[in-house]
Amino acid sequence: MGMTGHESFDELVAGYALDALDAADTAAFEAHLRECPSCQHELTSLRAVVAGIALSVEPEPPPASLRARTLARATGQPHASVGRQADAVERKPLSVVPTGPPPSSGPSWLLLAASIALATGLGLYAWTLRTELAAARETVAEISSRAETLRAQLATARLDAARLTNTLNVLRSGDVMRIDLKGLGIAPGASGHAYWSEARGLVVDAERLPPTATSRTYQLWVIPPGANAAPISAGTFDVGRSGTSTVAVPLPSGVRVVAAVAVTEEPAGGSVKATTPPLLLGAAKAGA
Amino acid sequence: MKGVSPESPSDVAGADVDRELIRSIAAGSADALATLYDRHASTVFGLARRITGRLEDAEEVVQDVFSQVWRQAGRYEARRATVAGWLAVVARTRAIDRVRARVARPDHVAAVEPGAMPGLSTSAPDPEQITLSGDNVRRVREALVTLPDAQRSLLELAFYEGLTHAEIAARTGIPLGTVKTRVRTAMITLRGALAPEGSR
Repeated sequence: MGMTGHESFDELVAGYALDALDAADTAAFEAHLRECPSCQHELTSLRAVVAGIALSVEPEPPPASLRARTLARATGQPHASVGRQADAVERKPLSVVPTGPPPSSGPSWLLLAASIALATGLGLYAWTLRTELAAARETVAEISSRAETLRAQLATARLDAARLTNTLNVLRSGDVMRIDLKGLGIAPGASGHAYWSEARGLVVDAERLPPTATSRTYQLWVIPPGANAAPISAGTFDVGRSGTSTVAVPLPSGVRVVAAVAVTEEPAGGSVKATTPPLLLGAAKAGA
Repeated sequence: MKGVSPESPSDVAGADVDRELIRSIAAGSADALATLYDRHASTVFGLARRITGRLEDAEEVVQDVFSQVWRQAGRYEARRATVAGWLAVVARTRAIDRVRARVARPDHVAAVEPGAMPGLSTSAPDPEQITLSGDNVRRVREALVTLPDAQRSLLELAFYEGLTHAEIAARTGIPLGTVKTRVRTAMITLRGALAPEGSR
C-alpha cells in the first residue's frame, strides 16, 4: 500500500512529536519538516499535546539532596553559601560620609528587601528609587563640591575603622546576626553576607561585584527597622583583585539594630543618599 | 468545539514568574535557576520517575533537565511558550533517552550522548514550541481517560516507554500501520480537547 505526496508525512507527525519514529523515518521527516510550514504547524500543536500529557503526570518531590547536586552540576558553581572564610581584608581607604539626621523621606528599602527575601531570584523591575533619581542627582552635585572635606576626614576615619576591622571580633561575638545578600539589577550573579553585632560592628563580604570605574565606588548602607527607615551610609569600599570584598566597619552612630543591608554604586567618596538601585540587598529574617 | 477559556490568574502569574526566572537565568543568575528548581523539580522528577522507574535515573534526568535549561535559557521565547511545558517535554525526552540507553546496554547506564546510540531522540523541541495552560492540562488528563483502550494503550507505550511504532507492533502483535493510525488518532483526539491558546 503506497502513500503518495504529503499523506505519508501526515502519518509521521504525531509519531515524531512522541519521538516514536525509527531512525529512517526520523531522518526523512526532519528533512521534510524543514521545507513544510504545514507540518511545522501540525508539529507545534501536537507537541503541546505531549506537553499536556507530561504535565498531567503526578508530580513527586525529589530527595532533598538532589537540589544542591543539580544546581552545582548545571551552573558549575557550588551553590551552598554557608560558612565562607573571610578573605584578607582589603585595606582600601574607607571614607565615612557625614550622615547627619536621616532624610525624612527615604525609599522604603526595608519593604523592598523583605519582598526580595520572599521572592528570591526575581529581577527588580519596579525599583521605586528611580522616581527619586532626579532629586538625588542634584544632591550628588552638591556632594561633589564637598569632596575635599571628605578626603580630609579620611585619616580620622581610618583610625576609627582600624579599631573595628578585626573581622573575627564581630563574627565571634555572641550576639552576631547574619543577613544574606542577593545580587540585583546589573549584578545578578553577585552575592554576599552581612554580619553585625551591636557591640562589635558590621562585617560585609561580597563576591562577584564587578570592579567599578575609577571615579566610582561601592557604598554600604544599613537600614534600621521601621517602615519608613531611611538607609544610612556605613562607608565605601572597592572590589578586591580576587573579585571578593570584605569590609569591617563600626555601625553608623545611632544604629543599634540592622534590619537590612544594601550596597550601591556611587561616585567616589560616596553619597549622602543613594543615587543608584542596590546591587546587593538583604533583609534580616522576620523574628530574628 | 469549546470556546476560548481564559487562563486562571494563578496560571498567568505563575507563567510570568517563570518567564522572569528564565530571563534571569539567561543572564547568568544561579539563584534564579535555584528558584526555578524549587518551582518545577517535582514535576520533572515525577515524570522521570514514572518513565524510568528508577530513583537514580530520575535524579540524573532532573540534573540533565536543569543543565539544559542553564545552557538554553537564552533561546527561550516567551511569546508562544510556557516554561512548564518546555521543562516537561525536555524531562520526558531525557527520561526516554535513559530508558533506551539502559535497554540497549543493560549493564551500562552511562551519560547519554544524543546520536551516539540508535534510537536516541534527536528531536528535542525548541523551547518556543510548547504552549499550555493549567486548564488545558486538566483537559488533556480527562481526554486521556476517555480514549478508547485500543488507542490509549498504544499511546501510553509510546509516551511512557518511548517505544517506536515498530517496537509497539512487535510487542503487541498489532500491525505497524494500525499502530501508527491509532497513535495518531489518539493524539488528534487529545489535541481536540485543548482550548485554542489565544493568538499565536
